[in-house]
Amino acid sequence: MSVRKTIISNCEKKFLLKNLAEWTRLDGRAFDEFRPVKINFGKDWGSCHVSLGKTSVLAQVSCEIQQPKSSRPSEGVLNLNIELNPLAAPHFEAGRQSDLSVQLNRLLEKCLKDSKALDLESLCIKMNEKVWAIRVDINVLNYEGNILDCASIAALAALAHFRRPDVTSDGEEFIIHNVQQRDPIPMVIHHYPVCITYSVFNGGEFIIADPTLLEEEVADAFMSIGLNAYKELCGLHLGGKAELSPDLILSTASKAANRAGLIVQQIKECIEKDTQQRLLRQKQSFSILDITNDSVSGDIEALLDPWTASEKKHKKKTKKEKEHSNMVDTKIEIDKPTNGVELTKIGEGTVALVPIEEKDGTAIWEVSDSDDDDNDEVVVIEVPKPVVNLLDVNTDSEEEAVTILNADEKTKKKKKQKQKK
Amino acid sequence: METVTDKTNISCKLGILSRPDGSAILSEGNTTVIAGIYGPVEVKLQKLLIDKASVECHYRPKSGLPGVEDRLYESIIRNICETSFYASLHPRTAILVTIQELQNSGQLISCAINAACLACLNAGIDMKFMFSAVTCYMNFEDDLYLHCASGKETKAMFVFVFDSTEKRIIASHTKGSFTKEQFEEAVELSKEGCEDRFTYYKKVLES
Amino acid sequence: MAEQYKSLHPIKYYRDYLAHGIRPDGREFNKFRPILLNVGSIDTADGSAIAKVGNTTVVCGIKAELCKPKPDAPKCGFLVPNLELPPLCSPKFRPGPPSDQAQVLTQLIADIIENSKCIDLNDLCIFQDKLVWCLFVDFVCLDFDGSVVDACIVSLLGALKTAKLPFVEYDPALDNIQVNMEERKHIKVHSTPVSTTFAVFDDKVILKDPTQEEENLCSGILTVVFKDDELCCVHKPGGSPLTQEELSQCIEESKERTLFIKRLIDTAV
Repeated sequence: MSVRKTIISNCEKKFLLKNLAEWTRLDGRAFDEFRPVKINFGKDWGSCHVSLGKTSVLAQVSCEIQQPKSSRPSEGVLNLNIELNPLAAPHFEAGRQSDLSVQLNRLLEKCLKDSKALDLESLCIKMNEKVWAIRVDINVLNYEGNILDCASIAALAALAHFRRPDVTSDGEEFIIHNVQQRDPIPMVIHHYPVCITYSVFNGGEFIIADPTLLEEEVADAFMSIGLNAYKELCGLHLGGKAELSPDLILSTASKAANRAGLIVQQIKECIEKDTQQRLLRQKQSFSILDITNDSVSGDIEALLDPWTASEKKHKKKTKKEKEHSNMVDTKIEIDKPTNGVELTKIGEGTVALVPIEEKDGTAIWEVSDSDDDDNDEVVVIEVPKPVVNLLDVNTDSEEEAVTILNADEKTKKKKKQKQKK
Repeated sequence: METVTDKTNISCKLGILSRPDGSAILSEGNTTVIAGIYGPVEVKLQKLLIDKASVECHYRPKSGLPGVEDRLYESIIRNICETSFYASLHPRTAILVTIQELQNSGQLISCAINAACLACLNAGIDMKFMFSAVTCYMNFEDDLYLHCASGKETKAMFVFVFDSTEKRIIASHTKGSFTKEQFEEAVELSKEGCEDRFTYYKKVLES
Repeated sequence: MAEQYKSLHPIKYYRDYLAHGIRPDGREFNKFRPILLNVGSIDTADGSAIAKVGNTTVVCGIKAELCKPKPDAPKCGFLVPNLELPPLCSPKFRPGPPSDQAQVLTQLIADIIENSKCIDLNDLCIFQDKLVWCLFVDFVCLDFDGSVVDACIVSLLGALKTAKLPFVEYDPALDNIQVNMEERKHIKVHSTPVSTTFAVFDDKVILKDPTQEEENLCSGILTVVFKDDELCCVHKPGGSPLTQEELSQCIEESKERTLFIKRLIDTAV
């Protein structure tokens, strides 16, 4: 793709820095507040969609049998591949590695692979001959800053969710059992490491968590800390140009450790929820594959609803409170009355009144409760503005069509004439 | 509350991504794709056309690298978009169509084409007509149906793309072998299916 | 004068011709170009053919190799088609990795082979789970002048029907392969797919078997493949919309041509 990267103007830069000097961020977050994380699983094993604020990625784990590396004959292989999809930003090129994608890939590898989070020995089928190769494909769908955190959560959640087919051996032959024959086997994960990224401004004067696109561009440097739930460091990377004192790094890392714990907890809860869903459905229909329709609409639900984008006006809180607010969704529904209005409390002191045009019938469709098996769920459709003037287009092409029809007859006539000749 | 167009379930949401100029997530049955449009944007010198916008299409499978088969789908989607756009309104620019597979349970191509159309509408690209794709299956008893009963073997599969004004065939892609009569029957059946899709598009845009 | 007119207003030039019911190369709309097929042209290949459709020339060579089947399909051999469009055949191709068009056409040819079931992959099995044939079917285009798929399919059939595979003996106990190069036998070809390309000019005129020039100027292409009496591919990758009647007419016309080409292939073999 040819489109050049959008250049950040000096005014934007200055505005952002001035705001930082007054201890505010453009989206109203506190300095060490993160954007909300949503994790959704697809129908297939190891398919996971994660959104961090507006940034969203899709991770898919796949596996195949191959020969192990001669240096490690009893270990499986884990490959991570992050793809900057042209969907995410116009300057991303399809199928080509850029500096950014190589850097992200390496940082993710450091965090997930080099920290030995996955038990590779459990992936060995026969020493020196056959091992499982696990591949994680991460597609970035929307780039609004901090891909790394989002991708690391997605990769980890997808790996934790993934199940590989069972393999048995009868002496010589290896038999790969499909899902119907034997339950697939989950991965063995020793610990759950995630990346947590901070942006550094003014040589360490301001350190902000989970930078957005603009903040990333303006920042002097970024610091990415890989941590697991036991607060163990699994990777540390300082990129850019800023001299930071070791104390500052340590204090940031300890702040990040709390966050890592919360994220890992969220991943585990989501997987638990997914397993529950599958189990419940299984009881109804006795087959695993046909049931998980639910997750598709789950994916859709995960995608931006207008209120996650709305600005949250938080007053400055003490650290503990902030940590708390990461955990609890800040949207608190006060009531859901039937008269077509929804009151949503957005943070402290702000309440939104959202009209629901339920009776209209066109604005909102709901699940038809009658048949449980089918996935009749339809989502509220948000159209910001009517885009195409259909009427105009219609008349235009009708005119065209008329000429075509005539022409057609002409050619037919000609052909007939020819035949007569 | 009517949501079910032909026997498969379609649901969709527009404008779900913040970066592209237009985007849509569409699921038909269990198959889900995301489509995004950038355009008209700056064009690469190689692909510059002096009289109209050049259309590029990228399709990403959810795992692995895009293969030769995906190239064929890309070219089909690109050609359909090229036909439907008023490309001459934006000379020396490019319109980028990107499609990402989220979940594949059959009829992926038609789902991708429909998502592309909705994303174009969302992006406000000038179009001569809307287009919609319908997948039609034929089983070994030579029965035709529009939704795939999962796990059943099919003898042939047809994908037809129709325009919204006169319901003419913009594109056709087939798998398997069949007679001419069966082919014509499949076109008829798909045409009915596409009407439902256009009504659905309109509902989506009105809401 | 006509030359200048043609290069300045190529579409108008064509329209003038087509208004009189004739194409610049003297053909009527529904006439196809002469087809030439030569089989067994390359000694080093296991099967080969050269097909010429008008000026379009495609060489097809089949090379057979022994390999191990995939564990999930232990009885299936492989057939790997690949179309090469070198800079030699048209100025619009550059040297280097295969262009998008080459990949798209390769996939289309692979689809046609699969849909027509002209080769049963189970026939390529020598010993289950241990040894199968892998046929590399390479097409090289020497002159790119429209309707390349038609030429490819004709040359493919020519090559397949003349291809001979050496006799292979496999001893599973010793894992021993013995190849008898002298004793060769034909591959079983189950059907004869024939492809016909149409071009839609200005949304209304349908030209059969278009040349490269016509393909470039037209607004849509349609490829119909017949296998005996059955259709096995109706491929229209976008382009100007056609009504159902127009489509049916194209299918009818390609059916007539199928018989001639089938006879051509059978005579050549």
